[in-house]
Amino acid sequence: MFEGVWAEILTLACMHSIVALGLYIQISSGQLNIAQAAFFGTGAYVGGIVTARLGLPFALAIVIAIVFTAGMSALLSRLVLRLSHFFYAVAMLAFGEALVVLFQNISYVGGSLGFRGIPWATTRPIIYVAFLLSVLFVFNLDRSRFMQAVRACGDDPEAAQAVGCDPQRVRVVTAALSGALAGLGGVLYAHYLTVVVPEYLGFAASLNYLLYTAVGGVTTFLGPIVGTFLFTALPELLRFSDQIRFIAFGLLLVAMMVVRPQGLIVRRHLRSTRRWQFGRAATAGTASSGAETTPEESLVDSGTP
Amino acid sequence: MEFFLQQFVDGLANGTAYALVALGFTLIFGVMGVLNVAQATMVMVGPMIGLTLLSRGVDSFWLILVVGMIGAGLASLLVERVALRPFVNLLRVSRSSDADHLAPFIATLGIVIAAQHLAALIYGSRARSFSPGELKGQMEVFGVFIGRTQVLALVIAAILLALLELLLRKTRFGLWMRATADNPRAASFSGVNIRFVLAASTAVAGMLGAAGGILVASMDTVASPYMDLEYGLKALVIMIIGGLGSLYGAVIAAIALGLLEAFAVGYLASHLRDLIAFAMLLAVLLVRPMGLVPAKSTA
Repeated sequence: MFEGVWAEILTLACMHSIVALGLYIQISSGQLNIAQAAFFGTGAYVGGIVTARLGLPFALAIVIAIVFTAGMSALLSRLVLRLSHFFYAVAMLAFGEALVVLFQNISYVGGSLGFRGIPWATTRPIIYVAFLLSVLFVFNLDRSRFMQAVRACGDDPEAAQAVGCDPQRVRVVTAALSGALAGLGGVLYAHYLTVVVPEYLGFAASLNYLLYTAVGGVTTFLGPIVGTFLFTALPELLRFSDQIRFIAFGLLLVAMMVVRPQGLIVRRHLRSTRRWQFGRAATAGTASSGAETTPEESLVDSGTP
Repeated sequence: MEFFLQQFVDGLANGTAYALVALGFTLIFGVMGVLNVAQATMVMVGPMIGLTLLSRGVDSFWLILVVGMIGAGLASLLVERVALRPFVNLLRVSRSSDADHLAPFIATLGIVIAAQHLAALIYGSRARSFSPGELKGQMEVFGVFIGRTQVLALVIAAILLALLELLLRKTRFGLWMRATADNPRAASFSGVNIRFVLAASTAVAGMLGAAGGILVASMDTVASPYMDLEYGLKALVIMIIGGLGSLYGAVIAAIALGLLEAFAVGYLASHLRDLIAFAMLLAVLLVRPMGLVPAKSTA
């Protein structure tokens, strides 16, 4: 079916998609987590410790890693609950970078040279099954009342509170879900490559997940999946020298954000509501109508006078 | 005591260079309410222009500084036109709505990625020596070695900060910038050309960033295409610690970071240096989430 490089890319894209789906849930709740790789990497390390150091079975490693990263993410989210968007994002960044330095200095898991000798246990079918289960989970979640509450809290926490949502609970629960999916991706990755280095937790790695999710679009669960598959395949498609490839990639990002800032895949009914709002804003043409739209909407609005 | 003073001098010089880079971020965030990640690129553009001049046999630090700043200013104008102007509607209406900046953030990030690899393509991906001849030499004061670059860094940073203060407080352009920072809609109704203000402040920020980059590179005596993220990330942290959009806060935070880093390297262990910024950030965010100097008081 799939051979060689493309099978490898498909496998990697499936693993990264799981992590990106977690980020999607968290971003929907208004938490711009720019350290998703920290949870991914922690899952990888924890899973590796369970199998390679404690000698326990792989299945148990998956469970422990998921529970650990979910707990860590929820705890952190609870800790920085009062920080709003931008501050939250940078606090996460700081947390991720601190974890990198931490893992670099723990010799029990190999220090800065990386954690080697993790048993190979993740076969391709396991990855595909984990991917499909995660997609099924998020697909169902996407249409649930809970996700509606999540989006409401992400768009306007005060209004959401007024209609009975609890933004704090939503933030902690989405953080736990996001952490769980990141941990799952991490533990699979660790037992696929059999080596984990501290850099997997860093900002550069987190940026990838942010790109997958933002470019794919954060209004439906398809966005992050499409984004991940696209970005995992793109470096192979753009087969020039390394540097030209990245230059093209960077410029493509700029063009993409200018032309279609809401992401590649956009939820249907959302699009129609917005169009209705443009009409109103255009006819009313007052300062207050601009203030009512969220930044995301006014961003789409840029073409109309 | 001499050891302490030595770390103090080193930290102070580094801190002032950080301040220049961070001020660029702060200026743009204060005026536009968006995060221009490409400001980090300007930290790299300055020294790269310097490398070109050095390889052509131009050995004058002042010429490198001036040309580097002008080049980064022009590059910033280009960045503004390509990656920020399309999002001009994002200009915040009130302070509370500066939330969703994913699109300009990603767009300027694209610029950073492209520029970094373009520089690596032109200059090679290895760090190269960056030491204009007239910067060599140091003097000894009470047992403390002070390099010529460190003195220059302090002097140049002080001059640029004073110029920025004059620009903001005494000129008509500064008035426009402050008006835009305060309320872009009202400023635009009163006849301020917002687009011009945005472009010009991005250029000013880019020039500050390039100056900071050139000073950092000449103190470290190396420049590499990958220095953008290292110092850009630190500058971002400084901006948050200092209070988003607060210029004085950024300067204070930058110098504090420079000093703490120097003391950490001197008294603890050198690999802790890169942890300091983030530890400081977590501490400040938890204790004082609005930053050291909240932006309102200086805007």
